[in-house]
Amino acid sequence: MPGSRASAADVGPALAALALVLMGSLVLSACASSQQDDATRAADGFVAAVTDRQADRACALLAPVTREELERSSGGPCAEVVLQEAAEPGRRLGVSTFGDMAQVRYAEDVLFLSRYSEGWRVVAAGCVAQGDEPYSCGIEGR
Amino acid sequence: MPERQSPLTRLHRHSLSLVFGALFVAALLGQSVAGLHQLNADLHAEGFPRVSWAHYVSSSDFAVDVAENWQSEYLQFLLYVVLTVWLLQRGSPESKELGRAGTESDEAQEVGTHARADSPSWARAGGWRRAVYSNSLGAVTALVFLGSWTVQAVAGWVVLSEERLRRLQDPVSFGDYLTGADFWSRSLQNWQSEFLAVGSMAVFAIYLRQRGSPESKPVGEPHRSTGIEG
Repeated sequence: MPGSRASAADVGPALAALALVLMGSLVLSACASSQQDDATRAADGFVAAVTDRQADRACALLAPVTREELERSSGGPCAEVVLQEAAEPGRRLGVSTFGDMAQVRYAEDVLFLSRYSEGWRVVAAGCVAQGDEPYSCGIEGR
Repeated sequence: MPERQSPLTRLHRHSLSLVFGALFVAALLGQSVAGLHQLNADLHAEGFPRVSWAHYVSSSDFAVDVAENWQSEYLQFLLYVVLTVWLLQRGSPESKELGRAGTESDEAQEVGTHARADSPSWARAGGWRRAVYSNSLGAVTALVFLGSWTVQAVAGWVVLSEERLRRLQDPVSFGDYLTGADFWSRSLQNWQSEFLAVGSMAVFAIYLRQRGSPESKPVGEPHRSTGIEG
């Protein structure tokens, strides 16, 4: 009879597609949340190393290019200068993660991190906002 | 007794979709390789680590470059499919015949009591089923356009914010991204080429011919003939 009700075979594929989209969204959300946690842990680890005056631990959490620039500009090994440039940042206020970059904002500091094969590393620290211009940072790779 | 088709005949009868499907896969693979090299050159210049192909094709960088092209193609199809219901171009095979603007009669569209024995079932049906099926091509292309434009927006927001973080700038909010230059530059640069392609094809086909193509009028067909395909 024309106009009969749609059978399960008609709506099944549509429901399956919708379920796949929802599952995909959940997976992506979980991945994004996990990345943010990892970046936060790395930033908090750097902050803790600075607070505890653990220079070697702080240097290990710097990105290679940042560590090289710090040593080049100061003329000394990272462990001897990193604590001079880094300050205690205070309470963590927020985290933003986009792709392989993250920004962790503290009451007295802003850190920028990048994801390397060995994990998240601090690209810049001791950063002060300059409006829409790039932050002015005490420790950075450029 | 149904005609038995050789495998080659079956392939030939689906050759249009098969060939364009293969071209799509090849072009997408090529884009992924070229895009990877371009991104890694930028990352290396800024002192950041290079990424692998697997990382790149699962990143927002790749997603936005793919999605911004898909959304414009499906917008082109959507506008072409819907606007050609009412808009005419004298002399073009891309247009309906003059005087046939509109959704046409049930008899001309072979629906309801005018449906044939082999018409799709929802063309024979009444009510919402016929209405849905009658607009299914526009609806699906609209959904694909909106879906891929959404992916472009989200992935583009991530890419721009990631680039800003690499430059030690604050990321942007999604709202600011939607009203910003990057989103609209990506969208409009694709749209202008799509609209130019449709418009120019509609006009080219008035005066030019491609023998054997359904996109062309027959070679000997007069320029003023409208809605005739080869």
